[in-house]
Amino acid sequence: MRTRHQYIPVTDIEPGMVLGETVQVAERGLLSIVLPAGHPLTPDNVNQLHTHHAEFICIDQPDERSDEQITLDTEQAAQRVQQIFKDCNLDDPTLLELFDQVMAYRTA
Amino acid sequence: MMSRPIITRDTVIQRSRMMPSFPIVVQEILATLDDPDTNLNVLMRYISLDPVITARVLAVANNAAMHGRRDADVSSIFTAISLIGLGKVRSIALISSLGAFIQKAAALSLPTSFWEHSVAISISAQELNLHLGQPVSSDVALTSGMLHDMGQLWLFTLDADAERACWQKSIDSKEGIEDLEREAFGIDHATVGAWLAEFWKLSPIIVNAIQHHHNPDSALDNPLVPLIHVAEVLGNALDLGHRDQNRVTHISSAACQTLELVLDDTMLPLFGRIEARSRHANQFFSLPR
Repeated sequence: MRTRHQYIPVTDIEPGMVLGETVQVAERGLLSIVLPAGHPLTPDNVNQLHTHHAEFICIDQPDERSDEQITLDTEQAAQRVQQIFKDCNLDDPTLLELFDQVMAYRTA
Repeated sequence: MMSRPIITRDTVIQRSRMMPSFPIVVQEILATLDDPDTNLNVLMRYISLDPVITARVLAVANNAAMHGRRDADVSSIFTAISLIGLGKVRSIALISSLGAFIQKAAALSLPTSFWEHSVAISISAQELNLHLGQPVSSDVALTSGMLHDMGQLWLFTLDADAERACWQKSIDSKEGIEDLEREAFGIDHATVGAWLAEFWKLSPIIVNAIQHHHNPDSALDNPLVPLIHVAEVLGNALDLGHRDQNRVTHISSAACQTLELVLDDTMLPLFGRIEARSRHANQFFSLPR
């Protein structure tokens, strides 16, 4: 199944979600919890993340959208990025680099 | 330009007395960043005096205790600090007190998007600071992000229609908000914000960052200046906060170079963190007080 790499607030996490990146939570300069990428969250992990004050995690979310819906969503996201950058001069290399990264992030 | 009395530093300060008092806890937290013992005592004293901050700190601590399946009902600030950590309590205190101040100052007439934008840029500043290896203190980055547009709030309280017209025109035209404000008011929000920050006795590096957040190139020796400039550009590029006003017209290459910020695919996790934390913060801090 296709997946989407997404960052979500800890308030939205649920058991069964699969980590897209390693979670490392540090408190007072000490590493208090480490969960590896690919690890499916257990109910205990969800509690641990709340207890250790994680604010967000990266997950690989199952992507159940149809190909048509993905194309539509990607087009809409790209249009919004173009609208946000419409008044800037993309001949400026720094602006172009930023535009490219934001576009890559939004259309991934 | 409209015919209105010239706005001077004295005008700004005199009129700021009509705004709510600036929260003392912010100055105290920032003044004691390098002294952890004083910081703890000062924090506990000021948090205890503020029911809104106390309630939010206890809510976070109780949430942590509940998920940790502890039996205790956290009802003291001291227990809460030991449970969720001093850094988190400082962040909650800063965002809560500055947020309450902004909301009171704005009364009912300012769109909530102003507050959401302030929170988004404060998170963006904190995360960018972390991404860059913390060239400045995390609390200073957060505070500067929250306050960078305070000058707009002041201009709004002076003449809401004129400031709203500047916002609208900045969306519809290629002119920057600061140029439009200078045409309408004879002054821009960055200058007004810097005067306010100075009056509130915030540190010169914060005053400087507010003053130069749109045009950082003449003040790059203070790392907070390029940090707040880039943090705001990233917040707008990611469409956070005031969605209808979000646009990117400029980013200072010199600011990026000073920060040694590389705009490649290492930015993508940073974007994700900024977006997720902004959503989390706006959910938490927009709860009814």
